[in-house]
Formats: sequence, C-alpha cells, structure tokens
Amino acid sequence: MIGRLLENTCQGLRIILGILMASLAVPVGMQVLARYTGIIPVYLWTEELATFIFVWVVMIGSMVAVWEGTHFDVVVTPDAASPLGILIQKGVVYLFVGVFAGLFAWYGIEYAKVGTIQSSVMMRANLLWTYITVPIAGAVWTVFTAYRLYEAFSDYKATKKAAQ
Amino acid sequence: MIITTGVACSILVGGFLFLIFIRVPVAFALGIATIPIVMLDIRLTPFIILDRMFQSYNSFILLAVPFFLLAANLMNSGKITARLIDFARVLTGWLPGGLGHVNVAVSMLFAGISGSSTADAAGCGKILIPAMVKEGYDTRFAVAITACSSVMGVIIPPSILMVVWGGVMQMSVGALFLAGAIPGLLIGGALMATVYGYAKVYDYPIALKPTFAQFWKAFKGAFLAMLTPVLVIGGIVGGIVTPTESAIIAAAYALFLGAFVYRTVTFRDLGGIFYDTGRFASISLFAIGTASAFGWMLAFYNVPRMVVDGLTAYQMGYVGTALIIAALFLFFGLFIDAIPTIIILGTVLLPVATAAGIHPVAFAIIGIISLAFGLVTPPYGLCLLISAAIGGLNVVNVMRDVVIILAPMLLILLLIILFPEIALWLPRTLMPMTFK
Repeated sequence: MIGRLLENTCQGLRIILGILMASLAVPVGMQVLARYTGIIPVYLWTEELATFIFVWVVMIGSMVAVWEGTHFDVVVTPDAASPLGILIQKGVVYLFVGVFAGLFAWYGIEYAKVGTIQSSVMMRANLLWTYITVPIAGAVWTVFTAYRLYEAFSDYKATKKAAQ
Repeated sequence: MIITTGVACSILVGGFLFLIFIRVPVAFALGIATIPIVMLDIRLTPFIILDRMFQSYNSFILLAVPFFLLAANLMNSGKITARLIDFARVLTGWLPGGLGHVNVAVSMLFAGISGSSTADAAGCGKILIPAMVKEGYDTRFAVAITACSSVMGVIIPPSILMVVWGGVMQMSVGALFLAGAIPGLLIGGALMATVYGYAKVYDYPIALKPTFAQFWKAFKGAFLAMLTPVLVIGGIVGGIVTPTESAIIAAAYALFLGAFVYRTVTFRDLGGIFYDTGRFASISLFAIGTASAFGWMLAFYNVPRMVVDGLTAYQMGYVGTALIIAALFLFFGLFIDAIPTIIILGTVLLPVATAAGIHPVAFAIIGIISLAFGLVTPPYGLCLLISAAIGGLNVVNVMRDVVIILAPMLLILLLIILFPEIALWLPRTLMPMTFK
C-alpha cells in the first residue's frame, strides 16, 4: 500500500522531470533565437529562468534516483551472502543516507525561509521558488530511504521465516 | 571548539573513504563526511554548507551538460549512431580487425558530436558488441575495445568534463575544446594500433574493401550528423556562441535530423528521451553540490595550501609535478565520478600546477585524460560497467584486455606530459588571446 503510493509519487516526479527537462530548452532556446536571429527581443530573464528550472531538474532527479537506487556507488567489498549480512550491508547505507536526508530537510526549512526575503535580479521572483527545493528534496529522500530500510527489514524477516 | 587542519582533513577524507567503502553513494558520502565537522566547529553552520551546495547549481555554464547529454540521447534514439557506424565501417572496416577499428572510429565521430563517454559506450556498444561477437571476435575484446574507445567522448571536443572544468576553474571552454583535439586523435591512433595487433595475434576477420558507391552512400548518410562538430566547436572557438548555447544548438540539430530529416524520432519518443536525459544529468550534477561543499570545507581548513607547500617542498620540477598530478587524478578516478573529482582535486591541484610552471590548459588536459581512464577502471568505471553489461560479462573477465588496450593510451598521456605543446599548439594557434 505505502510502497505503491511511493512508487506513484516517484512516477509523478519522473513525469515532472521529463517536462522540466523539455521546458529547460525554452529559455535557453529563446536566448539563442534572440541573439542570432532577432526573431524575438533579447530577454534578460531567460538565463535566470533557465537556472531556476535547472535547480529543480537536479533536485527532482536526485529524488527519483534515491527511490530507484541509481545514485552511483562504488563496489569494493563482496556482496553479503547471508540474510543478516544483506540487511546490514543495505541497512547501514540507508541509515547514513536517511540521517543526511533528515538533516537536509530540517536545516533546509531555515534555508528556504531565507529565500522568502530575497528576490532574483531580473525576474524579481521570490527565491523561495528555488530555495524550497532543499527541504522538499530532504523530506522526499527521507521518506524514500525510510521505506527502503523498512523493505530491507521485511525481506530479512521473510527470508528468515522461509528458512525455518 | 575550533578544529585544526589535520583533524578536519582526517575526518573529511577518512570519513569519505569509509563511506564509499561501505557503499554509500558517492554524492551522499561527500555530504555526510562534512556533517561531523559542521557539528563540532563553532565557526561553521549547516546554513553555510547548504548554501555552498545550492549555489553551485546556480551556474549557467553547467546547463550545457544536460543539453550535450540530450544531443547524445537523440542521436542514439534517432539511429544517427547507426549511420555513423556505417560510415566508420567503409572508412576502416576493411583493415585487419575491421569491426575493432570501426568501434574506435565511430567513437571518434560520436565524440565529435556528443561529449559524453557513457552515451557513446551505451549507444555504440548496443550495436557493435553483438555485431563483433557474431563475426567471431572474442566477447572480452569486443567489450574492452568498446569501453576504452568510448573514453574519447570526454577528450575529443565537445566534452562535458571540459565544460565543467572551464566553469569551475574560470577557464576558456573553447581553448579546452581545442586542446583536447590532438590528444584525442592520438589516443584514437593508439587504440587502432592495438586493434591491429590483436587482429594479427588472434587472426580476426578482414572485410572486403568498400566500392566507391558504398563509400558515397555511407558518407551521404552520415554527412549531416558530422556537421555537428563544425557547429559546436566552430561556434565556440569563433566566439559566436557560449558553451551552453552550443550545447542546445547541438541538441536542436540532433532533434531536427532525427525528427525531420531521417524521421526516426517521433513525438512519442521525446518524453522518454527528455526523462532519460534529465535523470542521468541530475545524478551526475547532484554530486556537484555535495562536492562543492566538501571542496569548500577543504579550502576553509587550508588543505590546498598544505598540499601546495608539501608538493613544492620536494621541488619535483615540471615533469615530476605533472606526473604526480596525473597519478592523483588516475587514482581518484578509480573511485569517484569525474565531475566531483574536478571540483575537489582540480581546484586543490591548480595552484600546485601553476607553481610548477604547468600551463592551466595543459593541466586541464592532463587531468581530463587521466580522469577519462577512470571511466574504464574498476571499481567505478562507468563505461566498462555499461559495456560489460551489454556483452553479458563480469568486469573481472575483461580486465586483462582493458589493461592491454589502456597501456598505449597511457603512453599518449605520458607524451602529453613530456610535450605539452601537443595539447597547447592548436588553442595557441587558433585562440592566441587566451594565452596572453
């Protein structure tokens, strides 16, 4: 139930990521068109909008990668063979990432608050629009990682039960 | 409390190594390693670290990275890669070890368009590894040559690593692109020589020489795609476009070719292509944030100064320092992705290189080529992992061939260290202003 809900959440993030990536081409493309063709006027806000979207792309992509387990890691130790070994190997990683994610979310709230009192130079947009990605990313990583940790425990219990 | 440089360095580096050893993802390990110091040192707050991390994404030049990846993905999805392979086949397929040469040649063509080694390994590997196995080549050789030739993706311009390097070190990306051209071609030559040696030893098949009609057909098929480097590199070197603009022009051109000229990319395909690009780009780029925080903290504790003093005290001279720099990049490239390594190690070693009289562009090329080797060396050799997965082999089984193929490539790196003009001649000639 929760797993399906989180998978649906991640699917929503995947769709947003694809749309944002496509929309990233718009402001940068406008810059090129404006500078080299003169079809449209030179808009100074395009560069700023592009970096705003870019921040969202990076943060949402990092959330999807936490759920899918596709952030790059380095395999220098052999895979654990026993169920307990597998639990420890996975669990320790989830714990470290989870703690980092929790701190990121917690301190990210204060960070986002600073964004509320700042505006961008060109668009005069409130910087909360981008600063908010920090606590959101932290919170989503925390939830995703917590569920993966729960899954690792469930797998361990199921394997142990099957062995008895 | 106030933490000393030695303690900070031990916690940061030791903590990071421990975390990657237990398989914490590299991007997170870089961030987690900073936590104990932020908690202990009264001069630091989590806000500073978050801000360092967040502001690193606020870079217009980094936008070039997803667009170069998008160009590569569009090329692979639009079967443009297959056209490049057809052309490479008529150019080199008739040499002893035909498909091995094709593999190298197509990587050089692909590198001139995309700037991503991993997209090269995935796109070309999917077609060439099965084709090579079918024609009687050893799977291990097919996997190893695909992985090793794909490293040219980040050496021959355009190059994602050079965009990041230029952005982080405030250097001309155009000069870096030009500096990578001759070393990239030399590495391609070294790879072809190795393929020739393999073909002689293992008696690999030789195809018939193509007729002029076959050559012309393949040339016409790939011609429009091969114009991309002219647009990208010509645009940047000529001062007409910025790296980010050139990247979006490359992506738009690949889309135009796929959707309207070759009609191989449909509107429905675009959703998947955009998503794949966003996902892969964000995984690579997310690490820039944590690496920036990690690198900033090293700088806060004067670690770069310590490294400079330590290395200059030995008075190793130009060649000795360049060799040490290459060795450090090669070593770090074994364990960490190239982009965070550039941010952390590159910024630390730049003053060392400058003190030894190494030109910043030569330093960049030595660093980037060394890091490119890391793409095919375990445990963090992404191109090797991709190629081995396509060939259905374990990385360990391919290592002997990888080492054999890498040896002449390392000789090229040594040549560039001894004679930096190999890299510097082209930018010095075409962009003299950069060298004033």
